[in-house]
Amino acid sequence: MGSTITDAQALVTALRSAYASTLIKLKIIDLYVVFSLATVLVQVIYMSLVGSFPFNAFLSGILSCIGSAVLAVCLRMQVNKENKEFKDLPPERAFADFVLCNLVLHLVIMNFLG
Amino acid sequence: MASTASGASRLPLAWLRLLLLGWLFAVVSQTTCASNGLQPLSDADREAVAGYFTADADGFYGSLQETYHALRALEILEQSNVESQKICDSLVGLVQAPHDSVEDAFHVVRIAEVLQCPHGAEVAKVIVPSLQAAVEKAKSLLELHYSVATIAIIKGWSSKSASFNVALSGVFSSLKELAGPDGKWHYTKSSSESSAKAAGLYTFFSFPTTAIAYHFKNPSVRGLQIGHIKTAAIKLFDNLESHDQGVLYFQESKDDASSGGGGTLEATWAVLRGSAALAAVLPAKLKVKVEKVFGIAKFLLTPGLALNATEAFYQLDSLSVLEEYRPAVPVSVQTSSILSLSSNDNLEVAVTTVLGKPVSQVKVTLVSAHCIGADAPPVWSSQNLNYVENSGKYVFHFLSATTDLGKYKLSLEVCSVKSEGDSSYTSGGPVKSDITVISAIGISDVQLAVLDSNTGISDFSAVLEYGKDENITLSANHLQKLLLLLKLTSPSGSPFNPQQVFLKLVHESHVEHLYLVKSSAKGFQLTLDFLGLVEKLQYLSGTYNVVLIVGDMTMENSFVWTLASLDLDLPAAPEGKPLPPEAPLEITARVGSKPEIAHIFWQPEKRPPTLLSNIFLSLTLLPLIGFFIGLGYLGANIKLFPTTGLPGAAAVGFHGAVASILVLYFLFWLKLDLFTTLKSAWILGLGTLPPGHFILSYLADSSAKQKTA
Repeated sequence: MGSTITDAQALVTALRSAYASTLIKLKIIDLYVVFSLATVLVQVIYMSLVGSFPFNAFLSGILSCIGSAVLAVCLRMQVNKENKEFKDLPPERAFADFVLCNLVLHLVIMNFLG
Repeated sequence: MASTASGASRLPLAWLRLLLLGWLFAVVSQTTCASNGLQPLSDADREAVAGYFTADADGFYGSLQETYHALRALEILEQSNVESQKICDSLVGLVQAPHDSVEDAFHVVRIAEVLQCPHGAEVAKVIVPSLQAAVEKAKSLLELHYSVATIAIIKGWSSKSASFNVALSGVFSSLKELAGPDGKWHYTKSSSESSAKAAGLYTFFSFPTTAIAYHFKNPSVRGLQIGHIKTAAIKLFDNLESHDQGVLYFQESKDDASSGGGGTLEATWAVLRGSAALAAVLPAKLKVKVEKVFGIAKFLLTPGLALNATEAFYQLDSLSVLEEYRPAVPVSVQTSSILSLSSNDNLEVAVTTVLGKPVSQVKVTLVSAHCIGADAPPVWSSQNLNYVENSGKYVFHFLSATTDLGKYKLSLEVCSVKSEGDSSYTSGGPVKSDITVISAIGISDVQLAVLDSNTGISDFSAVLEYGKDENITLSANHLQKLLLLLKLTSPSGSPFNPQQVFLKLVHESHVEHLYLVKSSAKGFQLTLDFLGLVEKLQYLSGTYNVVLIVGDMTMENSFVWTLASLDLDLPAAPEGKPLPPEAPLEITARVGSKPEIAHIFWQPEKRPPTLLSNIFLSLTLLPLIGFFIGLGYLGANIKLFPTTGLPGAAAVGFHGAVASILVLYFLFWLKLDLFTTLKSAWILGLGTLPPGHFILSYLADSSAKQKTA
């Protein structure tokens, strides 16, 4: 029991120190993802309180946050220099894709919002 | 011109052929009508039309022309409440006032003629000088018409008639210039379209012109012009437009409309007046097809034709022309529709003109009379009817002792009695009409009996006599039968089979039951077996009225006769479901208003309280705030944001364009629809591309440079 706790603590510390060395750019993107997911959480709590009457509104709110979180994750993958898969992709191009996909996603969301 | 000489000899044969064709056409067109369809001017129409004319304080009816229309129309309607003295006195004053147009003189003179004013010579003295000048300088059809027609009316009042001759010679050449080749005429030399109305007016005043020529015995004028005018007049009637049911009329042309024409009524009136005037002066009759005259008469007698005073004048004047129309006078033939054997009616046929005056110079023949429904030979054929002076009708003794009851189809023929100088009358072909022969039917041997169901022995029986009110009471129970016998005879003695013979039982609570009484060789018989009828009668015991109903179209004395009152004793209704008696429905229950329906509408969904929603709205914004705080904590900056030059502008442009798209989305959520949003998004997207591409490629280049450097 004690070993698991100490193991967990050691793990967290290791993660923290490893994380500190990531680029600011990537940390910004991670922060954005966390922000999106927090918004989702707030919406779900609200829905559980008052019921899902305008269901389409609920869905569009949730999908907006989750969609943009997913797109941010894709951006992070493409921008990360350590990722061999996207070596030849310039980060500006990835960012442009991110912006475009977000705009399309939000058009659909707005239509569904009603 | 050259063809008229030979044409005159061919005309009689052609006219015969036309007549035959006319008859054939008329026969074919009669298949659906019961009578020949021409009804004289009805009283309702007369009243309506007379109501259009209301006199002013000074006795006039508006302008001079309107006054003339009113006076002439009221003269035709035989209404004498016009202030002729007042009008005549003011006419002289009107004519003395200086006036330029010959039209005013024309109307004044016409009014004086209609009212038969004694001031004729005074009026003529004043008008004559200006009239001669007007005739010489008249160029259009209307101007010629007014001046010549005025001359025609006042020639009898003035002693200066010889001087008109000179003026008139010029008139004929002007007339010739306005004539067209095919019976149509122009208003002025320059107008291109010709019209039936102008044609009518042409002949309308060509009569006064030619009559004046005759009067002054001007042989050169006479020979030249008459043939030309005659062919023109006959060609006029080729321009007739037709409507359904044989109605014919003249259509006005654009010229008429632009000169303020009165439409089809005015055109028709003009042609009729003109052709009548011409026919009055020609030595031979004007050959116009009979059915054309008939069709025009039908048009003029359309109910509710005239909508205002002017139209009323045209209609009435046209009808008065038709009353004495030289080619043929259309007559209306009306027969009596019901003949009663018991009062020994005669068949009466009223032959009247279109205005309702009886015509006595025709021969009316009953061609045939068939009984409808039987294939028997005609009851009558080729019988002449006699004219009765007092009633103005043609009478025939149709009924005899052997005439059957029922409907008959009659075919009548109306021919003119040939005598010189009289008009010929036309009924538009053979006249078909239906009459019904009715009579009082004899009712006899009426017997009402109550019989025992099993044995058939009558427990009660009564013999009733029609017409006598005997209050008979019967009583029966469910084990008995009610028997009714009766005989119906027609006046010829044979048994009569009416369309309706019913027996009705009416309960005191107004519940009714109807039974058909069947006929047999021995008469009519009905047996009501109460045992079988108990359920139908809904177990209702009590007093019933026994009513006999007999009726038929040919029966003069159809009746509803309460025979007796019946005390019916039926067993009680079985337990469980007492049948409610069906009282006859009140009319209001069936067509009155139903009870109001209270609709239940869709209730809107329950929404959460506003406060809660607002709290969560602010909670949603918290992560966003956290994001910005986190960004500051991470040390994110925008140091690389280009501030100067083109990159700066492109960067600002790119961010601005994206922001505008987001604003568009916000508007889309609020009020726009998808299509306008897509259109605008498409445009804004195109606007985002150049700055975005530039700035991003610039940043990519600068970071690549940094790497290599």
